Amino acid sequence: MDTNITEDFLDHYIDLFSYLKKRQERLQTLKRDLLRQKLSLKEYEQAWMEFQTQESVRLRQRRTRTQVIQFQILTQVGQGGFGEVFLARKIDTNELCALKRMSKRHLHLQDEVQHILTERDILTSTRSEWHVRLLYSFQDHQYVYLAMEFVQGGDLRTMLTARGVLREEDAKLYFAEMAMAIDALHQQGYIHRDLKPENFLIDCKGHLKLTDFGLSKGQLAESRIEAMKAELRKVKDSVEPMMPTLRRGASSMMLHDLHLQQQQQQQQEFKNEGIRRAYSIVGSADYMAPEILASKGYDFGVDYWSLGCILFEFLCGYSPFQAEDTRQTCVNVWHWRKVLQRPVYDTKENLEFNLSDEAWDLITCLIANRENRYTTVEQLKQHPWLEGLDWDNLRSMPASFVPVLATPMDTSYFDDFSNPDDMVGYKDVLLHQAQVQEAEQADAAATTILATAMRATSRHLPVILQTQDPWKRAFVGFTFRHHCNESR
Amino acid sequence: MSFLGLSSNKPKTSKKPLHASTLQKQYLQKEYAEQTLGSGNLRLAVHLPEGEDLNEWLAVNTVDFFNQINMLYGTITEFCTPLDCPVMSAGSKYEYHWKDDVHFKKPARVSAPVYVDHLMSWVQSQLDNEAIFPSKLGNEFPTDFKTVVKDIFRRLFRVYAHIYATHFAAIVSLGEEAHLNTSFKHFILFVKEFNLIDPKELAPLADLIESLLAQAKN
Repeated sequence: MDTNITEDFLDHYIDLFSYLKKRQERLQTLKRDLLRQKLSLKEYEQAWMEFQTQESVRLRQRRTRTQVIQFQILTQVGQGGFGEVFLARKIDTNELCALKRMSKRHLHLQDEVQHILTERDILTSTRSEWHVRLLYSFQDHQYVYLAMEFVQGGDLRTMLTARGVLREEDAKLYFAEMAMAIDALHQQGYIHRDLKPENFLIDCKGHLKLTDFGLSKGQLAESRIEAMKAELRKVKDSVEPMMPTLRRGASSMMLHDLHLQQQQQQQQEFKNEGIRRAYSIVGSADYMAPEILASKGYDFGVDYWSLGCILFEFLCGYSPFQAEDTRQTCVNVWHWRKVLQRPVYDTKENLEFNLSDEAWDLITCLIANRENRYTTVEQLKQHPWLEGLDWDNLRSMPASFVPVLATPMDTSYFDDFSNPDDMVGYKDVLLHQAQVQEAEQADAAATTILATAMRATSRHLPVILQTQDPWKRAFVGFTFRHHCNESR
Repeated sequence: MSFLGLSSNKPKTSKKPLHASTLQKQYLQKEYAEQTLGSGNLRLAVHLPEGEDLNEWLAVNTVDFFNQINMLYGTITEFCTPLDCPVMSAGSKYEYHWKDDVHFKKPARVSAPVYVDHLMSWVQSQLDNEAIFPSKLGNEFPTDFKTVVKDIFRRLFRVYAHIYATHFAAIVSLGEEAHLNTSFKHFILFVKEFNLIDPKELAPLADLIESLLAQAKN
């Protein structure tokens, strides 16, 4: 039995003291504000009353702590290397949410602790409508949980796979929305570094929200990038770059067929058509800027590179540096000047898939060397391809795809985890998870032996430092609860 | 709701030999007491915040202490068995008998784990009762709320007392004495601030309380 209570204990006291400190600050702010305004006695009393009521409401919310038993699990909607995502309902408030559950030990073994802490930090500080909202974060002995707003329309990857290519007029809105989401993240001081279509979710009106901020700070998955760099160093001179091509036969037909379909039909088809894709545990280098692979410094520009790659994929149906394996993709990115090519179609039925000059120009402003690359939304707003776009009202514009949803709990845009066919793509992820679980058990056993030995010999260590799993302390302060009154 | 069983000054009968007698007061030793965390802040942390409703403040703290005691006791359950602790006690001089007016109309002499189990379930049922601990906005506390809280605190204290008197060695072996001391000091400061427990009830740990409070003044 895991009897270590240090992290819960510290968590409680840190939480308590920070609550008291913030409460004190709110009080001082109110007092200062009340002094500044010239209020009548009645107005003064009313403001004071309102403040006290708010504080009492907060205190009552603190009393009812978030625990996983307060959620009713409805169905699984996601599977990652270190945990699952469920559609869940918080029983007392009736809020629907995507509940992401991650094993602490697993995160530790995979060197992903920083990843999840960064994600939580961004989620708790963001107020952007372009980012998925965090409702609660909490933990127990085994797991950390993030309860996030449930965004129903699935991810951009699923939509892209279903639609093949986007018309330029449709792509413009998605592109602008991605740029806004990235800009909001940059405004917070974070760089994403690993943007891909999978990171964007489609809401019930068809608009995008950025999710999965994990890589944003950079400490994490450093090992993954290091592995890619090492691989690249080995092969960059011996392996030839390869142009990605649309597999002509099948794909041009696909392009054509898709284009002929009516929107409505398309939507319904892609719901249950059974789109398969492989979920990789390594991730891809498809959208990654060369300076990340080159160990040079990097800045906000790397995310604009990724935007360029995604825009290319919107319009061409494949990503500009895609290859059979990650190694070849890295080589292609390394030699991006040679590999990046504007696809040209000359057969009659495919002419309409040729890119406009404006679109191609924008792609080359993004997939460009650092000196010439766009790095701000302002630059995008000036670009001819996006001319006339109403940037201030993107979310109220009609989207080209609106999910067809029966209820707020409809999960048909996500894989069905009870269907073996849908699970085929998760083979690698599940295999990897099983391996880590085995390692987890070994690690737990070793920790117990170590702890017993430590107890026998190290009574005199400072008590707070004596803990069975010191890494668990990393999660101190993880807990978060949204306040309806505070957030927009 | 009266509760019997605090039979103080009762001569020691043939209880289990106090093999832990040397450890019994170890918690008084300076080196252990000094490991207590955050002592300066705790005294401030118990004050009723300016403008706050007293009941709301008592309620949130009741839940917090209940959770802490649950957590602390949970770590020593393997040591607190009916065999090791056939009676709920706080040292040789104090014995507690369970009575809840439902299953135990008369005070019953039960083992410590059974007693603690009844006690914690009893507290939990009050905390879950919307009429006593309202969780929804707008629901009000009952008029006798402070009496309920006092009852809960009086009983929760007994779990601390049992842990200190009987299981302190186990707590030390788990490296949790700083947690226990901090939690208990916080508890006592809160109790004193709002006068929640009759000093007579605190007698089993009177020495420790005196020492912790003296420390907290510094």
